[in-house]
Amino acid sequence: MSAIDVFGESSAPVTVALETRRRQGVLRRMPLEAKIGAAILIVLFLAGVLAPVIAPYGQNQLDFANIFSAPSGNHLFGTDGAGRDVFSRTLYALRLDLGVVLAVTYPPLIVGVLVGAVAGYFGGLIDAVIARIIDTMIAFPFMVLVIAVIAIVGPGIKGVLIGVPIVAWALYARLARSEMLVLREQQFMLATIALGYTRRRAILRHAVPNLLRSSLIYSTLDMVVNLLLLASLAYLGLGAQPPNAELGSIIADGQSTLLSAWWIATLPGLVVVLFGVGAGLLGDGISDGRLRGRLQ
Amino acid sequence: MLSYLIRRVVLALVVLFGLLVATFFIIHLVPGDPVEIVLGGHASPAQVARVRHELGLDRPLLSQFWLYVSRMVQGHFGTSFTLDSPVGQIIGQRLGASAALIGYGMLLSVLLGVPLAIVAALRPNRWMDKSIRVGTTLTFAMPAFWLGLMLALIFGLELGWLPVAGYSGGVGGILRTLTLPALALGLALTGVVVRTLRSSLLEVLQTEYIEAARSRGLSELRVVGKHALRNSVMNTLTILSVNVGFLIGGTVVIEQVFQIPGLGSLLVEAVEKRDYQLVQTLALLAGSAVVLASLAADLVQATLDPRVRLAGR
Amino acid sequence: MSPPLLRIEGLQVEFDTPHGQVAGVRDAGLVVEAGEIVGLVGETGSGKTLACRSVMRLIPYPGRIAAGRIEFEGRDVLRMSPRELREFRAHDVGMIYQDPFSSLNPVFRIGHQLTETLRANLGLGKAEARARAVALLRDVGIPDPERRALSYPHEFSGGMRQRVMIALATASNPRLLLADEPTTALDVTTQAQILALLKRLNSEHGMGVLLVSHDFGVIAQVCDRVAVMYGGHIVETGPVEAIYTSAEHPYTCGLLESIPRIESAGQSTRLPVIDGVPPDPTERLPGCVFKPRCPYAQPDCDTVTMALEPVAPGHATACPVRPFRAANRTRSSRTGAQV
Repeated sequence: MSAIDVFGESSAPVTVALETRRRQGVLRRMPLEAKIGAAILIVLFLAGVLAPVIAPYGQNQLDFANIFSAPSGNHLFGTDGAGRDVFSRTLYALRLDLGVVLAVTYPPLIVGVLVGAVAGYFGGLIDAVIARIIDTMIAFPFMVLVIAVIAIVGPGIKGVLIGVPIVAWALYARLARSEMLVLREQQFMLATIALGYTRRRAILRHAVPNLLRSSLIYSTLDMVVNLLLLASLAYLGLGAQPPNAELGSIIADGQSTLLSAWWIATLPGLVVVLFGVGAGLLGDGISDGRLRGRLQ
Repeated sequence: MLSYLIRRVVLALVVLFGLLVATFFIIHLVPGDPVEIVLGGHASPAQVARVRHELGLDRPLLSQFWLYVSRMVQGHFGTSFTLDSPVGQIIGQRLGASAALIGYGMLLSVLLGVPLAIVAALRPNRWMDKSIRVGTTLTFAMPAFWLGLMLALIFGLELGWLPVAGYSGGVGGILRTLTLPALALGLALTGVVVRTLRSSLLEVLQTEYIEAARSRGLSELRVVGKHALRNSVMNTLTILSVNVGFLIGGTVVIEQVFQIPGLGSLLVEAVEKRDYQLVQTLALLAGSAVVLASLAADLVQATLDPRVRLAGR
Repeated sequence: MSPPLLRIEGLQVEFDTPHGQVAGVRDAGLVVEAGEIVGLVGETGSGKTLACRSVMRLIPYPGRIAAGRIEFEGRDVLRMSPRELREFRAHDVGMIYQDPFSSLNPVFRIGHQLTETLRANLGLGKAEARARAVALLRDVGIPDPERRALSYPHEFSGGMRQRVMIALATASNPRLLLADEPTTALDVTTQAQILALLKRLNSEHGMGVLLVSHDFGVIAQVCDRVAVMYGGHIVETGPVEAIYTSAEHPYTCGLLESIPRIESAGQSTRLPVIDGVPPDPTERLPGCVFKPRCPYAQPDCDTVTMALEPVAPGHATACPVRPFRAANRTRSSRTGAQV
């Protein structure tokens, strides 16, 4: 799918050739920042996925002989009040959290981009109505809305899985819509009308790929926001419930022993920060690289 | 100017209406009977029926909605039966702390963010700018509650400079009890301010009117501090107003970390006790605050930027 | 003999780009005497705007003044400290730009922008500055100046904005005004008015003007002397009448010939153009920079060093082939215009 496709199937070989080159170019052009960010994220995701394999202890393996022990060779992140290995718990928590983050970031992205694209493309009444809905959703403080949803359905991951997407799509929709309003006037989009393409084709095959780019960049930021949201909810006791390990709840547990057993609250938090830094570097790197490419 | 004002107010009202609708449904989407849940299942059917009648839950949906809207608009928030006092009163008591926290947090983010953004924009892509950017990436990545805990650990517990719990009013009290919380709350916002202001400044600093100002021999301080900044303020204001929602969400968490008796901790309590009415009211308040903030920002922007007014947009 | 108002010698302005170093100005020199109006003419990319901006050291990063001397009343501008430079910009020189819309800060009222300069540079009090601002606006021909001082830039027409720009630039009575294509964005009638204004300021205040333009017609209307610029070099300087009647450089000739004449209106004559395109700023060709397009080029032109040589009092040219119109020198084939 590319803008060059406008000239029809007969130029398929040209299109493919151009796309491959463009894809390679993107990878090569990615600056160091983005590569480091991507590497960090890959490591963290792998750590989460492989948690059952690489965690030295079980999630809830109790060991009352070793409560509140400081970080050491045996226990990289130390142990908590029930002797559980904080490092292992962190790994399992990462697994849970990252999975949820993906689930609440990307489906809303797809839905949001489509809705925004439709609104921007058609304009008029459809756009007016959708835009108002988007504004209303965005007016809601994320956290408060999710908490309200949790109030209804009860604490646990369910609340997050329902609550976050309800609002999250609106952000992507707004982004996609404003870009579509600009995109709509560009040459290649006008060409789709001249060529008599169906509107569905124009939107899906020509506009959306361009809209996706900025949404994907934004999603790196969004993933971080969602992870922080998850952790915050767990911290408040409204997220994943014990005994499921969740980054926020581990930190919450550590609050009462903040001074004496600082590692419980601090180290898992650093993992969250690491994720955020990785995603941030990736997002920055890609958007900078894009700009750089354009200037050349 | 007037037409612009009217348009914005009408838009805000539309969104507020949407909020009313959305929050109204909070009680009605609860699986099961909200009243029974709240009363704990020990109540007699008579009690349940009485409370249902009080809340108006035995009426048809549309009339309930009308009741809801008219109550909210007049500020009759009802009585919370979990806390056994009028909701309006409870909110009034705790509003001060939260408002102070949010205001202080915003103030800090501007005080820290603006100078950093200026420094970064004056020498783009040199090491100062790059380290500021790395700094903002870091602050984005930190969960507010974790940051709050770390600040509490270092400055409160280890160094003992500031208290780590509670709230006292008055200027001195706010400075003492809310500085750490406001920092934790505002630091991520600082990052946003720095980023947007920096890029806006960079754009403005390339313009010809800035060069023209320099050509008249105006000092760099004046050129950047007055001319460039004035044109970038708009952007920053928009960012701040857009992030009010984020700040409100943040106070919910920060108040827990530092045990501040504000609306955020009230919300959490309400959820734990299944006090749907309270949740509803607080959600509506929060949403309205965001709408009002964005309206206020638009109006300020119209005052500062003559182009906005005259375009009538 | 007192030093000239402005003397530029051997100016070189370069840009550091990812593609390598780009030379905007290769070697430029000119003189403006006190009270003179000197024109700097050339096509886009000749380097005239850069040369103009260099006088105030307003070259934006990543450009820099790589070599040369700029002297204002004998003082070395390139060696001025930041503070001296600011004083210099505030009191000695003023600049006006091509697009008066983008050179006025859109969020401040006109009157405010004027009083700001007056108060910051001349130390005037608030009321005094306001009175002066109104007087300045009146002086440049803005009707109803008290009321208009409260307006914003976008409320003015192009011509009015340019007048405001001139008022701003001349507020502290500079001895030199740099005018970078001040009339290019205006219609012909307004153009004439602005040029008349500049001429009046010049005669009333003795203010020297360096007028940069690509339009020879504009230059001819107001300038006393002209410098012609091409490919980063000054190729000819001289009094405006001399240049008009007997240009001593092929490029100048080409420029003059390509001006549409009112006499040819109604006839289908072809406008003579100079073949070829301006030189690539990243390449440094040996010899005369105009040679690829020059209809009179000789083999020697490849190796000559570009330098201005006098041919008459006050009239100098960089063309090594003199006189290039001599009857027994045939025009070399126009295919010399390979680039």
